[in-house]
Amino acid sequence: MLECKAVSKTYLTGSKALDWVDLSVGPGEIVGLFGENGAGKTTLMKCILGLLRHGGAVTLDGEPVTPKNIARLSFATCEHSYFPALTAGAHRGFYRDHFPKFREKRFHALMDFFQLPMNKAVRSFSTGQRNQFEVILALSQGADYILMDEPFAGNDVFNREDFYKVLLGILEPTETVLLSTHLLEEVQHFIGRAVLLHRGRVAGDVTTLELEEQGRSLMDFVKETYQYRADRVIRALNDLTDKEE
Amino acid sequence: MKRAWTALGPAARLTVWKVLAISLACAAGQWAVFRSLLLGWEPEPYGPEGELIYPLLEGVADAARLNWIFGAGLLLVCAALVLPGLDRGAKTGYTLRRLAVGERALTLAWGGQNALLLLIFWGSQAGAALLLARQYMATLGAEIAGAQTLFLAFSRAPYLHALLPLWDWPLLLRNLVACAALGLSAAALPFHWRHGRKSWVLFPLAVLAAWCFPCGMDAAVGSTFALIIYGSALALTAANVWRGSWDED
Repeated sequence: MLECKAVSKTYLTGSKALDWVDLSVGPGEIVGLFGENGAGKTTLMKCILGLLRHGGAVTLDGEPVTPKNIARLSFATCEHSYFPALTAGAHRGFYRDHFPKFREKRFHALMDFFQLPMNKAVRSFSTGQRNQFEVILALSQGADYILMDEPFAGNDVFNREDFYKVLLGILEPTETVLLSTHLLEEVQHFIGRAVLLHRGRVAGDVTTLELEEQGRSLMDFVKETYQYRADRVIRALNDLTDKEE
Repeated sequence: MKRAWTALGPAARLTVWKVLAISLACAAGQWAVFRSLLLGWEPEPYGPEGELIYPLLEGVADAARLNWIFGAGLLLVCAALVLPGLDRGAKTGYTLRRLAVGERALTLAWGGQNALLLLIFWGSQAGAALLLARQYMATLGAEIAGAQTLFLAFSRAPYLHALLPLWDWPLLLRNLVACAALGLSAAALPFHWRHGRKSWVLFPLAVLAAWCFPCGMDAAVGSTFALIIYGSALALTAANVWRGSWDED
């Protein structure tokens, strides 16, 4: 169980990125983490990984995250965390040495699926290929909890669709995914639970099963939680048009 | 420990060949300048009998500005050691911070690896100087230049003496500590930058090492002073790495 208890983060600039976030993610869950820009999604992931100083506690099965258990977490980020000058093959060797549960078979299967070259430096890959490789590394590390922060930024819709299917096909029952993305409608059929962040707080937490039972879509849920005013754009346009007239 | 060494793999892959290439290029440049000077140096007649005076090895070495090429090479080596650790095109630090070995221990080990590469550069330059001396002796002939010529040249010429200090222990120690300080600073700079802090200590250290490397036998005070500077920089850099594992936010 990955648990965040009262996780808070205020940057030196004074902006409060996370405000008392409580969140528990159990084994085997696929959780979508949603929120507007600046809601705190990336900051929460970085706090979980211990990349940022924060208040509150993050635990893995009751233990704080330290170098001893950090390998149970993997991270795929749109910022990319690979070594650009190394080849995919060199990455495989490095991950094999440092992550004892590295999934070699899965690595090769995904490399074949996305037809990525093993002997080219990753910096020579296209943007889409780089994203794919970043995600491949995160999925192959052998982590129990796979954190993904906007991993498909820059990939086309077919590529993303393929990836969701592959993701569902290869994950083992104990593997957990925490996926941060703005692509709500695309991922709604692949996630089992949606967590909404708003201004650094958990504004909503619902399973897709609950949504189905209520006959609501994920987008409806998000709009209701954020109190989205659908007439906002029309009003603004009308106001603008009136002024011009 | 094994993990710390294997974690150095990516850096080693990106730096070893560059350091070897720079070492080779410096040696080739020195050889070209030295040879052209040596061949163009006309022996001058001296005295009533017109005895020919040949240039001294240290004179040719000085005129060839071997130490300038060494200095430029050293700065290039430092740059080559720093670049792989900087987050260029990716946040590599996110991966380094998820290793069981710990980023701080990794940075110290990385500093050790850099120091070894600097030792290789120093060794290659010493080897190059010996080869140039051999060329000098081959050009002038054994009756004029012998082992004593070599011994005197490597004692009198500040640059050659700093390359092979022989029994000059303070200078030898200065060079070793300089390699350690530069190596660790080259590892610490990207470490601090990855965490949002600025670390500039490498730049003055590298310039100091490149500029003040030549050191004569009579400069014990200077080499002791430099030893203190490099030693202090080494200790402070190590302490700063050990203290600062968090991001500045």
